[in-house]
Amino acid sequence: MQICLQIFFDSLLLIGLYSIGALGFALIWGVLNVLNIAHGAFIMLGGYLTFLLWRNGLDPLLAIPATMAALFAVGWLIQRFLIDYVVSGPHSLGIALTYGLNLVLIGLALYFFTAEYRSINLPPYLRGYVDIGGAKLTYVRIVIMLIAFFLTACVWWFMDRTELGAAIRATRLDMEAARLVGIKVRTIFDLTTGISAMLAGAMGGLIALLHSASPAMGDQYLLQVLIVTVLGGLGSIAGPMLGALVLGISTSLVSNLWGATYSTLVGATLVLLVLVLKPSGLRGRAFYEA
Amino acid sequence: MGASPVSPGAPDASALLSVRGLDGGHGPIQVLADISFDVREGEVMAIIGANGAGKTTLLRILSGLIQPMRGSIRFAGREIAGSSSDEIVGLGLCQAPEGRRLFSGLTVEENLRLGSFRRRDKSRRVVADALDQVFAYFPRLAERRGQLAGTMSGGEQQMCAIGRALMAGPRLLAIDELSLGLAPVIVEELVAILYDIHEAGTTVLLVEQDVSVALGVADRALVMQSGKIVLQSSPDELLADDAIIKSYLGG
Ligand SMILES: Nc1ncnc2c1ncn2[C@@H]1O[C@H](COP(=O)(O)OP(=O)(O)OP(=O)(O)O)[C@@H](O)[C@H]1O
Ligand SMILES: [Mg+2]
Repeated sequence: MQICLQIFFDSLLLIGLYSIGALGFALIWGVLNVLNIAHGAFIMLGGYLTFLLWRNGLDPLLAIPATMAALFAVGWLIQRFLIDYVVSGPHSLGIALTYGLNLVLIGLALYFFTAEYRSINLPPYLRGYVDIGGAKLTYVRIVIMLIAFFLTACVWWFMDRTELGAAIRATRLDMEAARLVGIKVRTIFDLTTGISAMLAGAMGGLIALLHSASPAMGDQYLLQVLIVTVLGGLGSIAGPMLGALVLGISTSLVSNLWGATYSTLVGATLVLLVLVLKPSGLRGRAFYEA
Repeated sequence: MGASPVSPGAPDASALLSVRGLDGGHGPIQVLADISFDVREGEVMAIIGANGAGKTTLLRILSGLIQPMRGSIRFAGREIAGSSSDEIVGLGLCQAPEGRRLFSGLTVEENLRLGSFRRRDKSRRVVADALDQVFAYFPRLAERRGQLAGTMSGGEQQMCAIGRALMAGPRLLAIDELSLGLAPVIVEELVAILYDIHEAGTTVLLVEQDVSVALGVADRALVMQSGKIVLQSSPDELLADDAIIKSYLGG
């Protein structure tokens, strides 16, 4: 019973974190057709920024929205002055550019922060825990879960219910028709990368709260995000959510039952299984389809 | 014969759309050469011509999807050659493009509402009124408002494409290939609705392969061949002269 609850809570936390990371990643992939490797660096930037803001006296929970706002701007600018040049080019160009960008940003992080893990001392109100049926659930985990699920709901609402969201979906479906109704496609691209980076920033900030910020965190979580995207496929909010669900549950199952060492194997195994048994993805939509 | 060759000269200030000396194409490949014509406020102008004559290229340039190489396009008193497509839509030149180009994964209503994206006044009431107006023209769209646009029949998709263009409140509605791939009954229905739209005060620029459809609705017609306008005339004169139809349109 106790282990079941622990697995359940661990799953929820991972599902929330993976969702926001993968939603952002899938968004830029779906709309711009760019496989953004620098998503990892955005996650890392989010982690460091939250850490820096906290070290300069900001409450960590206020640091998260501030981090998101900053990353939105970073994404917007990187889109406008960098990615915009490769959007209409071949896929490999986008991958090469964002891979390079990822390396540069990680290099900068190593230079300024060293490879040391930087963690945040939680304020008193985040330090306690509740005991539910023997499973220990810390306050900080509860808060992170809530923030992640709230952000996921916001993304769904924005994409599904607002005109700008519809304009983003329309641009993804037919760029030229979008122009014909008067949508500024370039601005939609800026907005898309802005939102994507903002979500990556949130993920990074929350991870910094939970564990720590480090130069390696980006690549580590980019891998999880990639796995989630392969599992769930593109083209909807539901895809990344489903992928997050599957990876989140299986990872927490394995790490609780056999130990955290094996949990890193989970994602790779799942991806292999999906690619062999159902190459079109769990929902029948290939992850590589734009 | 009454059909006269086109004489360019200065833009006609009284025309809603006035094109002069327009050259354009795809990348370095020139398709259109020295295109000049006017569309007056309140008329239906048809553009006919065989496959590959450059009709779609012309409309794409008018909508700002491709930049012209040379020449002037005045619309509603503004020079729009070189303007971006969103500015052009904002001025009221809207297009139902060749192949419909609906947002297939979005619902009919979402498609239509996006048609209002560039409206300056996007208050709930204005958009709702525009939507009601479109549904009044095309009641079948109202029945299918929640359906994914890509799953509708060709005729319904054409209605949705025209409706989407109407949602912007256009001064000039350009339609590329109204009848393409549609059964004659549906075409008749669409033509009847096009009359209503025109009656309500919208100027129409209709590109059409089917000569009888085009000349049936138009006040005036342009005949294009190999990227040039070769004739400009009233439909009656064109219809009366079989030789013209045969030589320029191949049938
Ligand atoms: N994207 C493109 N790139 C290069 N050339 C093109 C492109 N689109 C059209 N063309 C060429 O431009 C010329 C005019 O084509 P366009 O589509 O404007 O003709 P059209 O009159 O609309 O023909 P249709 O009646 O078949 O629709 C053709 O020779 C065509 O091959
Ligand atoms: Mg055409």
